[in-house]
Amino acid sequence: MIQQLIDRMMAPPSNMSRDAAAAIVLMCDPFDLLLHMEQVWNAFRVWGPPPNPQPASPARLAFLRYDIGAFAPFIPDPSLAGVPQWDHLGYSYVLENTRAIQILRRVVREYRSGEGLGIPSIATQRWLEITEVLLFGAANPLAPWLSTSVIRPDPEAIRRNAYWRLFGLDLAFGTDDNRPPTYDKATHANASFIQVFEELLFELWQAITNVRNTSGVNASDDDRIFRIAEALRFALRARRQNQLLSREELVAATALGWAELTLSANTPVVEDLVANATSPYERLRMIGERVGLAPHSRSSALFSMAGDLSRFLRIVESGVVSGPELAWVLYLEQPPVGSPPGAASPIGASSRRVITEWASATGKDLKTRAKPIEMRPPTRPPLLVGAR
Amino acid sequence: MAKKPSSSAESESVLELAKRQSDGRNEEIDLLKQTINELHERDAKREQELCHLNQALSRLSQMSAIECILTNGFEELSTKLAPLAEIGPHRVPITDGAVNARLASMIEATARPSWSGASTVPIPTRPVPFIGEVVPRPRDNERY
Repeated sequence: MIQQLIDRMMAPPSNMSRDAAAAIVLMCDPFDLLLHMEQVWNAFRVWGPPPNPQPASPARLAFLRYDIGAFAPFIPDPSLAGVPQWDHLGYSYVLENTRAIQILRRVVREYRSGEGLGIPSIATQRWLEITEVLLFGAANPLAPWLSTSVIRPDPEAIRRNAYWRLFGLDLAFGTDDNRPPTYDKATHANASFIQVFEELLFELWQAITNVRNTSGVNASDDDRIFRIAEALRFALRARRQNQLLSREELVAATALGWAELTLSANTPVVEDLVANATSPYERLRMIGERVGLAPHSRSSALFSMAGDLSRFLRIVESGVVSGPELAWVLYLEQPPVGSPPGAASPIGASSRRVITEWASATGKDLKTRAKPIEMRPPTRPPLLVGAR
Repeated sequence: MAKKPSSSAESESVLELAKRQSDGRNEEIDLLKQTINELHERDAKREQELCHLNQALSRLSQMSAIECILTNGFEELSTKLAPLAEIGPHRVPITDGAVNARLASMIEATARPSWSGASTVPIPTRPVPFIGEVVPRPRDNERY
């Protein structure tokens, strides 16, 4: 949500520079960001058109004044209702695996409890306020609309629950103090997600390597790509009936988006922690050293693929690939010959990035089949039916 | 009375004349020999050139033959492999406007700025005053 907000601020008519937009977001009142999150949520029209209820009633609209706030000019266009203007939960999952949230939690604790990390600048104090609100559930006027409550007070446990339900996956680490995590593990979870997902990546790699192959044996199989993508879509949609998990996805994307923005450049808190570097991973590693918690060793790959994985999963889940003849959407980089002018670009570049970085992060070679198909001659000739 | 030349003198003059004539012929013969030698050399050169040309021509004819074989071979191979192209993916462009709009909106909704090469985010701030450093200015209508 944060990255999309900056992208909208850079678009016409405001045409801000990236750094100017980032500076405004980093220095804003946390209430403005939360208000914008509600504005994005309301614009999404989660339950569809009337007669279904809208997320915000007239009373709430009047109370929150949806037309005010620092980011009101950047509310998504109403014509985009139904299209989530935030990242897929997969984005949050891979970014959370870097351990960024737990490292930032220690930074907040250190700054709020003493001066061991130095005197925070004005901008860092602002960052602390926003971080406590967005990531750690500090009280704010919009608390009732957050995904936390007395029943489920821990934001990290809520995200773990969502990851488990949608992907059948847990994070690669336990709690901040290395204890096993405690969260409600739902019985209905997509336990086979990762197997299907990696099979799809393998088939897409076969297709990518054969894009320019016009005469040789072509190992790409559009029908199989479609079938696997469809299986993945069914699995994801099974957990999304009546827009379940959407609210949790938005809150997670906002929290992890804030962590990503913090580490995307030498932001004030990075500078105050003397963690200036040229990549998000290096910044996180240096901050981790300051607070005594190391990030995931494959964080570089996790940061690199987060945005592309979000796009990839959104397209798969949206059902754009509705048949084998449209499987190319997932692996080409330009529309095929004969496409009408103005045709949307396929997402081959994102798929390629996900394949490379997923292989790097998991250590699995997705470019070769895990278990090769055995081609042995039969030990005895097959018996024909009725043969004597 | 004129004195007649003696016979010995006559013979000398004849010999001289003959000698002159023979010298002239020798020169002509030498010239002819030289010309013949030059013609031989030129002939040898021409033969050498002809030989080179023959060799080049034969090489060219051999190459074209290889090319011909290769071209025919590839054409034959291409014809044989043509059915495989039909087995390959059959990519149909998106002509349905709704599908295209759905794809475009999903791509746009996941767009993000590029952070490669990002360094410091400029946020201008001024030093924060301590309590007591800022002296309140009295309002115009207030009197002290």
